[in-house]
Amino acid sequence: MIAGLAAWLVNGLALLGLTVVVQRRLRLDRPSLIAVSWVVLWIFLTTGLTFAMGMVGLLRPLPLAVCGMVVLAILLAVPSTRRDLAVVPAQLRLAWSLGAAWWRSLPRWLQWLTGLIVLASTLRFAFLIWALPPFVWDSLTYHLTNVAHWVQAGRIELFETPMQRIYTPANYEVLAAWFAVFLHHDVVVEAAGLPAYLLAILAVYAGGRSLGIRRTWAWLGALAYGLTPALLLAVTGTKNDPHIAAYYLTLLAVILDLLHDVRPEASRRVAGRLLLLCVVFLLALGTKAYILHISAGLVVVAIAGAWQQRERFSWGRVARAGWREVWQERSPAPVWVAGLLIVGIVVGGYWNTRNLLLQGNPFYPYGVRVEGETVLTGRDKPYDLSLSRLSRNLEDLADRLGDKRGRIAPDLPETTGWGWYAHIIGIPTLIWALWRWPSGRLLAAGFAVSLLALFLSDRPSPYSMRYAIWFPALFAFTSAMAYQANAERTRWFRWVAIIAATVCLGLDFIAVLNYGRISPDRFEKMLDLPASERDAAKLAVNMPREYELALSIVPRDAVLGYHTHVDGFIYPLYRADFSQHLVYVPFSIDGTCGDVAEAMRQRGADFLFVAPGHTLEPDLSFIRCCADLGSAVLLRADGLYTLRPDE
Amino acid sequence: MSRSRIEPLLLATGFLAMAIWYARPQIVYSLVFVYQLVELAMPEFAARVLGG
Repeated sequence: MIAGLAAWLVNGLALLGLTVVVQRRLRLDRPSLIAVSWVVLWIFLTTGLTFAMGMVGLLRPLPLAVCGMVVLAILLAVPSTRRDLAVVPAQLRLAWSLGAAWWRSLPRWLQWLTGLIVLASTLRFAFLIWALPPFVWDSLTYHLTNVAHWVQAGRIELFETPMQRIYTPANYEVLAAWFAVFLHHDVVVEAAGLPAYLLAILAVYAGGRSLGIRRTWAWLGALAYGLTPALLLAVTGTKNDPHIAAYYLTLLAVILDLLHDVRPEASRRVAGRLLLLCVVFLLALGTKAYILHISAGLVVVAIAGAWQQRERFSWGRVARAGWREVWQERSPAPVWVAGLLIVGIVVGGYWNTRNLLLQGNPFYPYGVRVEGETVLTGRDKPYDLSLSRLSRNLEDLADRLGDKRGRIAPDLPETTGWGWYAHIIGIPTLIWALWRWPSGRLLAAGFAVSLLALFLSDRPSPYSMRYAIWFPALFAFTSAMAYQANAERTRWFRWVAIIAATVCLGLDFIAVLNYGRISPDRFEKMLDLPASERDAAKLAVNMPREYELALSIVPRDAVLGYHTHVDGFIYPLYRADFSQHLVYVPFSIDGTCGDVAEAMRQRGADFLFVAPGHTLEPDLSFIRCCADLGSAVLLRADGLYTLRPDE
Repeated sequence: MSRSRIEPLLLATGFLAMAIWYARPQIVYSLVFVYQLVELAMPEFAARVLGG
């Protein structure tokens, strides 16, 4: 434990040092965009370093600590990077004084609101991370199954399992592995969403500032987005959607910053911002494929925004200026640009390239169909781009407006997850923005195109809104601008606006205190356990009792075989400390009971686990019959089988 | 009435209308959670007064 923490500290310091050095190369000058770049570069570099160590089989605390020491030694040995590190104390003092001035510039009511939100959110996040194990469906099936296997094996690799979604782009899982590998435990793995949460809030603020929204209202908008229930739920839900939302909003913030840079062209520095765009897009590409869909709206904002600016702005001139900065002024130096792009291309392209080479389909396990015609075949449900899907998804969205069909809960079943602020303040101010704010119309068009592009292929299901948690940021922008335009000149409206925002944000926070689905007695049960023993299998939210029962019987040093279907929970079987070794035991109802025993023996499985809802019903009946008939397979407990001792 | 006066009025009316439309189902969900908390903290009170 202590050794793991020490290794984490060393590795973390190295990554912070590397982030400082790389960030300074971007030569950004707007404080809000600098803050955004800090967070996203930290995520990018942490993902890159952990990925590299995982690929060479060194995903263990000691090698990661040694790697951290090597990185620090190099940064201190090279004169230019040593100079960067030497100015860190002065930079911190500057950041502190800038932060203090920024804080003093906020009105008193917003200081209080910010303080309350930061305090309450910190406590909520800390409590939920500490008290509960992961429990969201996507995590228990594939996100954390990857993490658990990699941490156990010390290597990023594929493995035999019926869950083919382990093939999907996995940069989030790499970052989550960084949060789990040092303690060899999942107690803080939910914190892997927090950097994305911070990034999303900062990106909304930076985007708002670029649009000419003053600090007070831009910050209120950022806070409002930060308290959107859909985002709050997903952040500690060990899913990659908050990361995609944060990357989308970061790309938007950088585009808006370039579009609305009012300085004379000759004095603008653009290479750093262009490089940031490339790096963030590549990071997102290796996180989840739907960034390709929603980027369509960003292209609309970029093109239409340039058109709005007429002769004052041209992407061609920006690209040429960036090229000149790199190749003539060498600022940033070409070697740094090349290095960052290479890391970006590797973490952004590895997963799909691997799938193309191994399976002949970059999007494996998903196939791709366009209007019913198969373009790529896969084993899972295909991405089906069709107008019928679009219309069905739009109908579903209309039904879900108002969040009236159920409580807002993880995966957003039958709801938008947008919450009080977005509905009560966001929708009226969106209408206002369409009427009165040209940049608001542009933003709305961009967000709408992103949503339509997503809905063109999003499989209609009760959970389809979970991919659109970036969308409520639109309401943050429109409400901030509507407040600025009206609250500053109409005294009574100012107080109506402030009170409405405060009440809505409070209600949004309260709505997801318990994820909208964990009852207090389940919290009580988990809190009765030591933090180290809060296995996912023990949280009976969506977990069949067979999981907990199996882990109470199977010794930690035994090999636990499992037979689940393509959507079954696998992660809980690893235990919270990843101590249980698992093997997949395939069998078919067309075979014999002897085949099951043989498959267990071949894979060295001491036990075989099956569970209703997570193993196909015919397979469950088959294995039960095998035990009843006195074959080589013996029933040990509900859902748990072993080989007969004399076998 | 000038636009600078009518805009805040329209926005405030919009907030109120949306609040009435949005609040009803949400309040029911919130009450269920509050009831669960009361039931956990004071099971006898919940059983006697709230009929749990």
